[in-house]
Amino acid sequence: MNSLWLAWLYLRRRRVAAGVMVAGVALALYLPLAAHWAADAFDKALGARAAATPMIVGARGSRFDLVLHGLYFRARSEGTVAHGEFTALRDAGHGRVIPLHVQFTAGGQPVVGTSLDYFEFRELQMARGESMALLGDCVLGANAAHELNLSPGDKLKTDRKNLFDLTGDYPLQLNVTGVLSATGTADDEGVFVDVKTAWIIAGHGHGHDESESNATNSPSAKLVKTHLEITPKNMGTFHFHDDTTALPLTAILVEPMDAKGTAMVLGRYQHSSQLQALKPPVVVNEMMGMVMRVRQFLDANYALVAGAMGMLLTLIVALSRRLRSREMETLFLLGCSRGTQFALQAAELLIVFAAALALALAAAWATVGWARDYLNTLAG
Amino acid sequence: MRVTIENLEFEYGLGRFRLCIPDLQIEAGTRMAFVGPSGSGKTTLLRLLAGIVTPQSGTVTVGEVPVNELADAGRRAFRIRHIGFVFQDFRLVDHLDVRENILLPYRLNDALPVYDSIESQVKQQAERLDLADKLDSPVDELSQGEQQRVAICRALLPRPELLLADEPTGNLDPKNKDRILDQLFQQTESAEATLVMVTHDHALLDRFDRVIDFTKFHKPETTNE
Repeated sequence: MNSLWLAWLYLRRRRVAAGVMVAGVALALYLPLAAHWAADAFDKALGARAAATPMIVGARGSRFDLVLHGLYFRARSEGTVAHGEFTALRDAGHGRVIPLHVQFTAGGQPVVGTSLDYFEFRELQMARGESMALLGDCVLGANAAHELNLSPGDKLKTDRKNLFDLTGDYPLQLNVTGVLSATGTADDEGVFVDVKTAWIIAGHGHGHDESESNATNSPSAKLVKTHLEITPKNMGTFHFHDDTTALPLTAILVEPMDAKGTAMVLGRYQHSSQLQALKPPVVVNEMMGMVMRVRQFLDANYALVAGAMGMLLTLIVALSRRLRSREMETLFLLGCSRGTQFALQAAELLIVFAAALALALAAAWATVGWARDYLNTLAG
Repeated sequence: MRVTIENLEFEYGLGRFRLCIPDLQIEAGTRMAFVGPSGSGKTTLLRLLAGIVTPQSGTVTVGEVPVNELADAGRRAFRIRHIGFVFQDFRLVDHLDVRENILLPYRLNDALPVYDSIESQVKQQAERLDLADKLDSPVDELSQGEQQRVAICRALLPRPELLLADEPTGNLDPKNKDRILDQLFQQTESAEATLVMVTHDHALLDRFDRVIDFTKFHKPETTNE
C-alpha cells in the first residue's frame, strides 16, 4: 500500500508527464480494444438481424447491397421486383412472403412500404397508438419518432427526392397512427407505410378531384387538383393507372416454412437473369469474414504499435531511473531496499497502466456504443 | 547507545582513500563532534556507523550489535530502528510535502511500521521544530533552514538511540546554527540518545562533550614512486 501511495504522490506531483504517459498508453490500448469490440458488436448485430431474416429476393446485382437494403433499408436496390413476383411467391405457398419498398424518406428517415406481416415477422410491438390501417397511415420506429418528435395523430411529410424535377414525385403528407417499441435494430429508424402508400409516394398512384369549368367543355378547361394528403374524404379518388402486378418492390423477404420451401425459392431464381434469392446469414457471414481479415491485419499493426510503445516505455523508465538516480539514492539512504525501489517504480507503472486501461476501456465502450447507434442508423 | 570501533580499515577508489581507526569508543549519551579537513573521512565514518557502507576489516559495534557483520537487510533494519541520520544535503524528496518527507522512512521500511498515532507524533515533532504550519508545503518551497529542520525532524521521529548528523549547520546563519544545535541537543537529551555530528565550525566545539580530529585517521593516497 505504501508503494502505491508513494507512487501516487509522485505521479500527482508530475501530473503533466504522467498525463502524457497515460494518454499515450491509453491510445495504444484503445485502438485494438475499440476495434475488437466494435467488430464484435457489428458481428453480433448484423448476425442477429441476418439470422432473423432467412431469405431475401431482389434484383440481381450486388448481393451485399441487396442484403443491406432488405435488413437495414440501406443501399439502394439495383433494380426492382414486380409485385406480381411477390404474389406468385405468396401463392406458391413456400412460406411467409413480405413485400418491401424502400425508396423514399420522410424527415430523413427511410419510408418502408410493406405489409402488416412485417410487424409480425419482426415481432414489432406498438408502444403508442395503433397500426396503420388506411392509405396514408404510417407507423414510426422508436428512434424515428424521437428524432422527428412525432406522436400518433401528428402529420409527417415525405421528402422530395429532387427539388428541381417538377415532373417527379410530390411529397405526401402521412398520418402518424402509431409508434413502435424500441428494438435496438434498424426497425427503430423506419417510417412504416403500406406498400400501396409507398407506390403513391413514388407517383404510381394518385388521387385528384376533377371539376368541369362552367365556361367551356374543352378538355383543357378541366381543373385537376392532385391531393397531397390522403384523407377519408378524398381516399376514394386515389387510384393506380398501371397494372398493380407490374408495380415495383425493392425486395421481398421470405420466411420459408421448411427446408423444401427454401430449396424451392432458391431454385426458382437460380437461373434467373433478373432476380436473385439470397440467404442473408450466409451473405453477412461472408461480409464479416472480410471484416475479420481486415481485423487480423489491424491486429498485426496493433501488435507492432504495442511493441513500439513497450520499447518507448522501457526507454522512458530507463531514462527516468537515470534522472531519478539521486532520489533513488536518497530512498536507499533512508533504508529503502532495492526490492522496494523496484516496487515503487512498478507501482508507478501500475497506476499509469491502470489509469490508461480505464481511459481506454471508457473510450472503447463509448465508441462501441456509438458503433451500435451507427449500425442502427445505417437505415438512414 | 554505545559505539565501539576496533581495527577499522576502509578504503575506496582503488586505495585513493583510506580510513584507519584502530580504536574508538563513544559512550552512550555522549555529544561528540567530528572535525577535520574535507575528505578526511568524517562523513565516511558516519556512514560506517550507520551501516550504509561496511569496512574491509575491523568491527563497528553499535550498542551490542556488530553492524558490519549483519547482512544487508539486517543492517538496514537495524539502522532504521536505532539510528537517525541527518544528511549534509538534507536528502529530501522534492515531490513529497513536508509531512510525507518526515514519514518517508516509515513508508519505505517494514522495520518502522506506520502506527495509528504516527500522524500526531509528526505534528508534535514538527511543532518542536517550528514546522507545524509547513506540514502540507512542498519541500522545494522551503528555505534552507526549514529544509534542514525537516531533515532533522525526519531523523528524530523514530526516537533513535544514536543520531548521526553530517554538518547540519553548514548552510545556516549563526542564529539558525545555534537554534538547530539547541534543538539537536534538546532532542537527543530527552531521548537519552548519543549524538555524533560532523562540523567544520570550530566555534561550536565547546558545546560538545568530545571532539575528534580526523586528520589522524586519514591515510593520504599512497604512491608507487
